[in-house]
Amino acid sequence: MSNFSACLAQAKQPSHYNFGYLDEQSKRMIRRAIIKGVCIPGYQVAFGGREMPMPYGWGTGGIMLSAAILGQQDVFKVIDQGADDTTNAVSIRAFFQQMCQLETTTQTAKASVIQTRHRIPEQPLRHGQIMVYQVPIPEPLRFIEPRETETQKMHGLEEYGAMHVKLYEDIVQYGYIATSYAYPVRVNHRYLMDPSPIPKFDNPKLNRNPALMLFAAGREKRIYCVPPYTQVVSLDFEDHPFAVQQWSQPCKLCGSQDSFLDEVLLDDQGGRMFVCSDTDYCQRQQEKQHECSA
Amino acid sequence: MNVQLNPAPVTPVLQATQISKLYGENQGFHCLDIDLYPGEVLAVVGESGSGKTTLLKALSGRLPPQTGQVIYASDEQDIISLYDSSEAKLRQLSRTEFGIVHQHPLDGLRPYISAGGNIGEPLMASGNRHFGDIREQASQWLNAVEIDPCRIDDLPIHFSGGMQQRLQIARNLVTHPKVVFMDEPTGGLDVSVQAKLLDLIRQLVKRLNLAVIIVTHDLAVARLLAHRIMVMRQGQVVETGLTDRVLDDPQHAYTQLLVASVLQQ
Amino acid sequence: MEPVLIAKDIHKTFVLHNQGCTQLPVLENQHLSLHKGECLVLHGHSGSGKSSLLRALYGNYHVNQGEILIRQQAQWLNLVNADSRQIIQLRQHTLGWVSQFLRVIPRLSARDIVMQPQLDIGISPAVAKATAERLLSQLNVPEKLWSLAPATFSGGEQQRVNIAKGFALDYPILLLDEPTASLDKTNCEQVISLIQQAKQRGAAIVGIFHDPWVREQVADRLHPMSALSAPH
Repeated sequence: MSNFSACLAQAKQPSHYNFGYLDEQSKRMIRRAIIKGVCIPGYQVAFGGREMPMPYGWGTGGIMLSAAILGQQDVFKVIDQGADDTTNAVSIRAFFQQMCQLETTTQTAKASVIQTRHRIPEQPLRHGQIMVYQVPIPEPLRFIEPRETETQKMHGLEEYGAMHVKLYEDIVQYGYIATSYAYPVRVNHRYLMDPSPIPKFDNPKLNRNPALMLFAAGREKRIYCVPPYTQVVSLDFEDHPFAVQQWSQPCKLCGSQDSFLDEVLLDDQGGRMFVCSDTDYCQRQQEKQHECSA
Repeated sequence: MNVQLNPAPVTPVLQATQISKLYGENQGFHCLDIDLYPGEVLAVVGESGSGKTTLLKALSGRLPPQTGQVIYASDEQDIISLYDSSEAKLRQLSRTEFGIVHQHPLDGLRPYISAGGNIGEPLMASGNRHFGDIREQASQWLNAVEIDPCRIDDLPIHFSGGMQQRLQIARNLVTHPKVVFMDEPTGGLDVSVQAKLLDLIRQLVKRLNLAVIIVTHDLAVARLLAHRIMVMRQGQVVETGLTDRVLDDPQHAYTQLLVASVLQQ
Repeated sequence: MEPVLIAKDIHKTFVLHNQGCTQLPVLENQHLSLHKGECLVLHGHSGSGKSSLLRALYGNYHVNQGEILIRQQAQWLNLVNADSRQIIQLRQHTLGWVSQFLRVIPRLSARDIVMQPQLDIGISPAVAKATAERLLSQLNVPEKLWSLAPATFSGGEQQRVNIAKGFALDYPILLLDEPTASLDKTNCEQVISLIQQAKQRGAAIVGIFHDPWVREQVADRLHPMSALSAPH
């Protein structure tokens, strides 16, 4: 595996491919969609998706978006469920390394563009950074209304009551709002938005975040954006307020008590441990501890 | 002797003037005038294809007529011409002030959402964000339509046809609409369930002072529920008036045929 | 004294459109006026149009010509050209109707049926219930039936429930279509006594009574009627 990615990383950009794989006209088209999306926070802008050298569901939306915005000076980071070292993250990083010959990193602080599958880094983002989210189903109302014509009308007329029905059903079934990822939000007092399947733990990070948030669904060909410092509110009921996940124990590796933890099974006897899902953050925390103890 | 007419007690809540919607020859309806008052049930009867359902759609803001207008007056101060209003206003009206009861209950329900969620949705759509309150109201409405409130978390697909229809009615009434449009509400139900539903509708109409337009081809339903009746044929009203007057002493040939065709009990 | 109901020059012809447009004249030149506290009995052979006239007075039959004026408090309403809502209001407050046939939603209990017209005009349920039970017991409807739907009752029991319903409100005008037909003597007497009581409180009554014995007891005046011959 590491040999493969090393091979990819060392390969020269093939001369018959354009910088960033996509042709310049397609990039412009995508950038126009982004500008429109930034102007109307949370609004789903249709764009003409291109065929990418990988199947839908592997992050084609995010890749098209990244391809359209990456420049030679950018430092690129890719995470998959918080991890820099999973197949998907490694492959996408290597792809752009080869197609753009640009610098990549695993450090959140160093990156100027972070493409992510389903997490927001624990390290607070700064102004100037861009997050690119891979989105499977961009329409938060799809669960309750299968017709696209109707959901567009519902967005247009701000008819969002149906979204609360899903939360109502959660409470009925589980006694609390059990939706734990892709938790619907209202952007800038206007559009209802699916924040992609990030855990609801990350929802509060969307609110008034200094970074630019770009979301892209490749199969459904939709782009939507949250500009820096935009209000993003998670839906809830007065008597069942929005709350994030909590864990009874800290990260086994770094001891962090305020990060999103993954449960890892250790053996067939039910042994398990909880570790940070954000590998970069976990590593930083461990380094800090070493510095302190040293 | 001084003969004078009694003044009408109130203004109509729904008024259609000279509305037409024709799809082709004899398809749809032509130049109709309708006044509907609070607390009043108007039955629209006639053969299939006589334009009844199309008329119901036009009156309830779901199908713009080609001519004429439909005026809705929630009170004397607030008078709205349906088809001169924005779509947003129309949809808001149809969510809150109008109730629409479909013949097939699952057309008006979300089958995979619990009964409580189905009743609660219009409340949530009107901005209610208190789970406990929504649930309490849903439970009261289940009671009102004679569904055991302990079934509040069951799915409509697990209900019988009669229960589904009553659930649909509850979902429609929870926002306290002023006008309810019903399209053959007892159509698919067996006779014993029909009677129960008719009685329920009758009581709700009275208690909530609803104005109701009910499309039916069942003259017995019209007789039991409706104050007034409108007999339609090929898109035209051939006879209209007091229900018992029209059914007991029909004047028009078609009405006579309709009445004579009913099996005597 | 001013009358409470006046019918002028009533004509009615049935036209049977689906049977070769057959014309059946039933009423011609009918005039009548009715005063408070009196009982007018429509008198004639079967087929003389008694029932048609009574139904016309209730607004149940359409008439081709003439006026039917009914006093409602200080105003007069012409039934022939009144709109539906006015007639419904008139029937709720002024015009009572009793026939032999019970026509109600199957599920309602006998007690509820008798309470209904009272509830419709805003009488409290407690008062309505008391009145209903008083009438039902006066008409010998067994108490165990009160909370049952009349669909399963005998014809006579159904008829008495219907009579109770008709007398539950103190209508200024009552129209009675053979209320005593097929009742036994005891119950007939109860109905007669209800009619007498209504007259005493000032109700004006138009009725059809086949039984000469009943007719003699309640009638103040007779309105003779005879069958019309079909035009040739």
